[in-house]
Amino acid sequence: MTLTNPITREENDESWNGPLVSFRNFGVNFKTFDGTLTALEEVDIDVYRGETVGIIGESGCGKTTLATSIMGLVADNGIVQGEVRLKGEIVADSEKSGVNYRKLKRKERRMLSEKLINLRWKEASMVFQGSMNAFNPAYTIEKQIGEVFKIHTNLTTGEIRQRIIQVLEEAGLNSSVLKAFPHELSGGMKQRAVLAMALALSPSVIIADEPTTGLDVVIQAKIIHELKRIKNESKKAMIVVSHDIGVVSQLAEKVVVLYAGRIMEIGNTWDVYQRPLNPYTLALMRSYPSLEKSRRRMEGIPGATPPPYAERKGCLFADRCEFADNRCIEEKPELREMDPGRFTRCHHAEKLKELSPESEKEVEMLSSPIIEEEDVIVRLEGVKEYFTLRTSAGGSLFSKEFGSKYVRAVDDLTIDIRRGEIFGVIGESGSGKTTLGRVIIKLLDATSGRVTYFHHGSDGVQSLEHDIHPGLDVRKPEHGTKRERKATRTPSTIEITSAKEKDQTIRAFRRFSQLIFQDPYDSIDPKMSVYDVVNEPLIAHRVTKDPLESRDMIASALSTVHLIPPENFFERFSHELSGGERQRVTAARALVLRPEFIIMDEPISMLDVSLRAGFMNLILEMRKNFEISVLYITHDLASARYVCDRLLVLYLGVGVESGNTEDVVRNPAHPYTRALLNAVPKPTPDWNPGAVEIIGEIGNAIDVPKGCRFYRRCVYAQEVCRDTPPPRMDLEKNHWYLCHFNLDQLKKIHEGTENRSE
Amino acid sequence: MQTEHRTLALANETVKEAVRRARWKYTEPPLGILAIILMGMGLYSAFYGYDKFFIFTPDILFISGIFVMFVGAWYDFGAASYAKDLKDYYHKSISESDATYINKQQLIMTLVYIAIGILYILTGIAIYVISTHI
Repeated sequence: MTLTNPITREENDESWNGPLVSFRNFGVNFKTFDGTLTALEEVDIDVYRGETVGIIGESGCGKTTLATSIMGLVADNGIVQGEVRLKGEIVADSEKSGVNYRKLKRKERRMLSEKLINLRWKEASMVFQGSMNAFNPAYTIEKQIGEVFKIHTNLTTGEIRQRIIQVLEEAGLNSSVLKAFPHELSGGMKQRAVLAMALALSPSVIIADEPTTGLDVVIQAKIIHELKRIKNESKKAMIVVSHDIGVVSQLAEKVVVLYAGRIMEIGNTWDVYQRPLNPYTLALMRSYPSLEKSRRRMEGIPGATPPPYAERKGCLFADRCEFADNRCIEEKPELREMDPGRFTRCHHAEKLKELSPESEKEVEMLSSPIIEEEDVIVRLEGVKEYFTLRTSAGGSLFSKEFGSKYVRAVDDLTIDIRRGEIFGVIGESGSGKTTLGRVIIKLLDATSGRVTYFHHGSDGVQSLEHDIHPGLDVRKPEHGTKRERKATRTPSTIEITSAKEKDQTIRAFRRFSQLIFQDPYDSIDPKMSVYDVVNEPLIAHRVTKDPLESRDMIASALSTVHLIPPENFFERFSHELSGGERQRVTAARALVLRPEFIIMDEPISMLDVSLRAGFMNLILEMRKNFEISVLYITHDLASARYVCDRLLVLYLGVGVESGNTEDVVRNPAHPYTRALLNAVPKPTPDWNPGAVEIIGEIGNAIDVPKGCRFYRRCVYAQEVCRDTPPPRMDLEKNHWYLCHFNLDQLKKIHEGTENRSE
Repeated sequence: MQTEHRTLALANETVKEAVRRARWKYTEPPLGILAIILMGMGLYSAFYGYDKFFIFTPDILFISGIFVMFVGAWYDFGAASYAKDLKDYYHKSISESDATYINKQQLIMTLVYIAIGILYILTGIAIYVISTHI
């Protein structure tokens, strides 16, 4: 379907031969109370018709400032250098933008505003980061998209309605969403609606600022597919801003790597990805957890981005660069053309050019430790967690449907988590991952089923009794070899589900098990210093009354998570730490009691891409050094493959596949697992997001199908799947999936479906 | 299947518990008001003499009891807003049996309010009887 805009922009586009977007020596500094902050400097980029440019870099590198400048949206405190042109018209420059905008005469301001109004949405539109916030919650989708037409065109109400339906279809939605309010749409639908709004006037340039951030992997693949289709069909220019290298690799032909406001490298996407000519790009690629490379040891980028107010002398990446020498610290590198179309800002680009992609560094492969199958730490037997839907008194009193309205967050789950292993739980949002974690740790009481915790103290039950009492030295070293220690251990069990909250055993369990939350920005009290945060569990469990001892324990926990020297962190507050450091503090808080079992609920999802590898390595290190068992909850399959020994794929509260990580990733059996794995963006040209075999979006866990939970979304679904619960199919040792069909049958169904579609 | 039934039974218990809690939520205000009247009048009488307590309290309680009964008879206990929510947010219509169930619950609540009204009146009578013996 093609758009037939009454204002035919395509003809104008074709007549315009120059760059649609052009940055010339563009820079932005922001004046703040703390000083002048440089957001961008010396940016020279041209974007032509039909071209897609990707902008990548860590948080705070100036990606969004760059994108919003094209719309003429420079903040009032911005000092602009150079200029940005959109189809030859200046949209931001040193005279009329930022702080100088206020100095313009009223007439000049009005003229500039009118010019920008005419350019915005018509010539350049933007898909803003976070679709959840891009819409006004009080307006329907129809009204909000209609606004674009009302302001910029002379169409009648009927015509506007027709055009809205057209653009919604163009973005992969149907007219049923017209009367919906934003909160009634799922994340993916909302993102598509934002895309529809951006497409409304068929602009020459579409700017997508983190278009898939915050979306589930399946929805992300679908949005990438839509964007690719729009790009191919309409031949528009597109600027994709993202920290996700996989997403940018799929959409952009040209990539710009930004670091602390400076362009570090520009070039063809695949060239840049395969043969980076800048140490920063190389480090970024090494730290990106892609699915196919994720068994290789990854390295995070050491250090942090330079402070925003610091003097910008020499190469800004020098502190973190493995190639850096004195020249890098003293002399600012210029952006040089190394090959036609390949620019880099590095004194040592020649050295990088000589590196062949394979010989970059010796690749270290991760090895999984040997874990004893019988040595279970947590056992779940038929665990169910149902939430009732009534909240208001009226609802409770008058709803007649006794026993039929539940959110089946976790439904009949039986798993064993072994001592010393990292057990991964993967699935989309709403699949019940976090609820499962909370049930295990008894933050929620299970509706039915049994959760048992096996504590291995040095002398079984006695040790449990001893551990309950205060004053235990948790750091007391165990003597003898590992084998001898194991031989002397006798497990004592704690029935978590049946125990009462005030029971001594639960108090002991709270000490052996810890939780690391998803968001390090929310999980640390901003009024507490790092010392107090890490000291809190010691106080709560009355571990020691000796302040010197607790100080040593805190220092040891901080050193374990590489916050060295720990004394430097004691008095710091959370706002003085980077995201990665905050998450390390939460890890130290969990480790200070030397627990046996830690639940990590999406611990890296809020971290910057360069910090993720570092934290994942820390998890592996923690397991190795302290023999900790981990329940790793995530929707990021690449990170799950990197850290986990075994995986459980959860869909609407039901475990649909489980097995050793490599077995599940290499030979996925369940249709849902296959779809999930196919949906992970791969930085290779042959990845096809359209080939993700899954229908629609994850439903609610209330009106679930009687048979297979995945029935409504499964492309292999047959009549039997609707009403009959699927049996468990065993493949290899430990590898099973829930389905009515074996692998051969699935293959045959798939061939049949393909033939029909042909 | 057996475990499914057992789980639903357990979940049903929480639902029934929620119904009990909702009923208590509606019962609390008139009982609270009764307690406030008794305490308020008690405090007033402590300052101005117990004779006034015995004169006014039975009358106030009798009138309040009748008022509570009328409230129970006329108030819908949130049924209208529940029906509206059902229609607007869950896009569901109310069937004949749903309406019967809602009416039954309303009747139970009305009876509870009548009982509370009677409690007001009985308390008033008790205070009157005590006053005749002092």
